[in-house]
Amino acid sequence: MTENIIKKTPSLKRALQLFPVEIWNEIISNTDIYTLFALRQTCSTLHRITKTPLLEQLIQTGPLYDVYLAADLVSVLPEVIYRMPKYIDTVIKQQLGEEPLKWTDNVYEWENYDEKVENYLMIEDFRREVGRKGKAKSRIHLDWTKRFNEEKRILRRELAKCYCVAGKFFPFSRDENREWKKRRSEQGKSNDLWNENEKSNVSKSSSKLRSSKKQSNSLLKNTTNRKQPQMQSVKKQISDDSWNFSHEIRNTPKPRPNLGKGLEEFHKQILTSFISPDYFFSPEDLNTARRNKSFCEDEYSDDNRPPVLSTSMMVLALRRFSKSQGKRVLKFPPELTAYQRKVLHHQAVNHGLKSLSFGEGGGRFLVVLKGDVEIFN
Amino acid sequence: MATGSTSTNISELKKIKLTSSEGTEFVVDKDVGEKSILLKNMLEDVGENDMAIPLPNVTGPILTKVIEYCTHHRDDFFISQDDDNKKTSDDIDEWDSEFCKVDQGTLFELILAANYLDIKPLLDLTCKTVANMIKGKSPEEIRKTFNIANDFTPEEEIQVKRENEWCEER
Repeated sequence: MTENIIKKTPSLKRALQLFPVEIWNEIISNTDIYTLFALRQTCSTLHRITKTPLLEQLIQTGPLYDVYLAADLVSVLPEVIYRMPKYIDTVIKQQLGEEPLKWTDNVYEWENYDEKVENYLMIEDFRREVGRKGKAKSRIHLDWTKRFNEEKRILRRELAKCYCVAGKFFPFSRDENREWKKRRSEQGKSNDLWNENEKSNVSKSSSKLRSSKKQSNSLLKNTTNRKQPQMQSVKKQISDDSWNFSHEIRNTPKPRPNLGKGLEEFHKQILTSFISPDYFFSPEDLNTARRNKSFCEDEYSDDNRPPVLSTSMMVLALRRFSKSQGKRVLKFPPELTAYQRKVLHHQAVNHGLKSLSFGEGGGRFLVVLKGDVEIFN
Repeated sequence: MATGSTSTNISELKKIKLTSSEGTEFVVDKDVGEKSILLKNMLEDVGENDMAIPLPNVTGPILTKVIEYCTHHRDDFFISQDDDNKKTSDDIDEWDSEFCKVDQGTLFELILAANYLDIKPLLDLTCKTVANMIKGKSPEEIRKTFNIANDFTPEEEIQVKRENEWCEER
């Protein structure tokens, strides 16, 4: 009976129309990590179902198991992994043995000790080193640190996978991020190919997009589209140097089509008729600013910055805006520094205005609104 | 031991009737039928009765397959509580793998039937077969195999892909 239905309609099904959850769980319990990752990407139901088994497998079969044992106090799964980063160091120290002494006064333990060099020359070098620093680094310590860092890197990478599966962003350091980005750009070609293959299968809306980076931009655009249709040009320009991490994408509000539909047009009208600070500057003001460098006394702005962009000029524009009639939205240029934006935020609050920042990275810009403009997401 | 053997002797003689969803009647030995926990419990509840047991969720061809499986394994002692040792052994014995060489629709029906009739070893076997089918495949291939709809929104899709980028990292 059902067999016929399957044959007649080769249409797509939801995962749960195929099997109930317990059978999926049964199937999943027989698969390996790789397959679980693939299953995760097939549909939202499986994405949810595979989460816990995947975490279990990652933690219990990989190199993370020791860390898991060290961190496991009550064994609640998603929470355990958030505790685990703290235990990485301890675990590696257990494996490698305690940290050896960093400094040595023995030539043979010195990091630059070389068997081929004559002994007395070596000793001379060593004396020089000791004389300069008062002590010399030991070779054992050097090796130990190297191994320690390597182990740590591996474990942190592994743990980052767990965080991903759990839907959190792993607290990477700056260096780690840079290294990761570098490696991604090296692999860039193969990734584009992969996207090319995927493209045909993705739904119509995203099939227009070429690469994953553009996809993420489009996401940004979609979410902010309703607010600033005119600011897309700004976004395009910044998109090349800004990297959108998954947590940023996760945190961007999803477009909610039913919310405030009637208001949308109204807001569009308001927000598209924004003015920039230049509107409030008379030619005189600009001239003064250009001529008089002291007018833009700004410890944070560098010399290349045009004086028109100085904090004092911006504050001036803000004040004039708050007194002005009719104009309701003031958009500041994205060239302002974070500090300037902060100052302007404060000033806006003092003048009873509303302020919001949009965009990411180098393209972040501030928008100040009159108090009666309603803000909605 | 003695009582056990006598009881099996008695039960071997007994037959039970099963009715598939189309109304076809199947007559099987009682011990074969009792491989299914559902039927076993039913028989215990009903007691001695000549009535056919209706199985509205199982079609005739599938029921034939299930009976074939149970008949082949009638002498195996199924340990239903102890699934640990079953799960660790990934190898499927020859007869079982031959048994699972059916088209996908039938296999899925078998899984559902095994789940409904509560035949743990059959469920394990079929699930393992499905797991082997999808092992090492890409998400797209899995979707094609099962005809699963991709119900991610474009935003979610990007997010999932991005997460996976982190996970692929070695």
